[in-house]
Amino acid sequence: MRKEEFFDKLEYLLQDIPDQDREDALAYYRDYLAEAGSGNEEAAIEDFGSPERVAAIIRADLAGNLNDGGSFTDRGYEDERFRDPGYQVAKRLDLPEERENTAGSGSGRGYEKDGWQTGPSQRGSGYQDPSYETVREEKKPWTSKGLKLVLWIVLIIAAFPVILGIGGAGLGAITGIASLIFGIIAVVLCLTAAAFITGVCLLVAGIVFLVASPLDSGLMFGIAIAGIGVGLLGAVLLYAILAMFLPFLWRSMKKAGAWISRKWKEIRRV
Amino acid sequence: MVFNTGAALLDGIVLAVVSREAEGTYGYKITQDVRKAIDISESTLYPVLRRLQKENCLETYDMAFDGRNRRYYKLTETGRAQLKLYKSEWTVYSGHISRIFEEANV
Repeated sequence: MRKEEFFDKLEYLLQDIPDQDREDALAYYRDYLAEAGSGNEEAAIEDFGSPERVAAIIRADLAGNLNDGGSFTDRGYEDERFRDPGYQVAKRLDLPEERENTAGSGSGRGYEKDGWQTGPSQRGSGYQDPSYETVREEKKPWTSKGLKLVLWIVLIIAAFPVILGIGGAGLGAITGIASLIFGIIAVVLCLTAAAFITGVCLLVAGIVFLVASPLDSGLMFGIAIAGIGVGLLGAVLLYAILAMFLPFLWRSMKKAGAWISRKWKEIRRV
Repeated sequence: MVFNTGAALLDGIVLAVVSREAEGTYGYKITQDVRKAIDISESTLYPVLRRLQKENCLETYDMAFDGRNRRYYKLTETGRAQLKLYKSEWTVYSGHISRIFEEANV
């Protein structure tokens, strides 16, 4: 796992602890890697374990649950509570999406409910049994699904004009930007293709007229080379857009989405 | 190895490692030094250091190093007393265990 990836994940997992504690913990692990040096960075991250595990260790410390926790053996730290959440499920299911989902839910509420409060005597039972499934079931919201659905429908109907306005404008903006990007790609693609075709045609023509009129042929060769040059430039530009700019755009959008949802959660908690 | 290191012993080892540097030492170095004695993951010392700090056994100060900040951990008087206790307890305990093994018939 790369360094940025590790810290992004860790920061995300610790978003609900006090800012000061989070900064402190992240600074410790960042400094640690800086001390290890760039050559040993990867090995150190490997040795840290998954971000879920490190987050669990940091949280256990905050909750004061570490005192009677696990023990340190020559094989490393032995505390069932700090095993990677959902590690068993991850072993069973090798679909990558499934693995992500289970890891996510394991490090969420259910893990807190079950993981920390487990005393040393019950150690080991934390993840093996499906007890956090039952915890989740107990916490069922008091409203029924049907009622919620009706409320949602009423809300949507009532807010329809507003939603239509905002939604319409937003949709328009998104469509506009998407069309712009698509348009640019199409134009570059066409120009590249045209330059290539012109270049190749003139090259062929140049060879044909080589004997009949060498001067014309020379001109054709010149233009052909220029055309192919322009085509190559276009291809590079196209590659830059498709392979670099679009993924960048996508990543930025995902980041923005994550940021908005994080802020939203904070607002809801306050 | 097959023997476990409990939380108290780990605290003792960390305090002992930190006590060797009068000016204090930093997280990475502490981890490397502890790893010379027992095999711990590189991520495990953070909560231990924090707890020892909270219990006033260690104090920290920051110093610039190589263009970044380095946090140094230093033994306090409380920490020194605690280390003394761990050390004497360990001497007694390990002495007993060693004698048992020496007298064992293998």
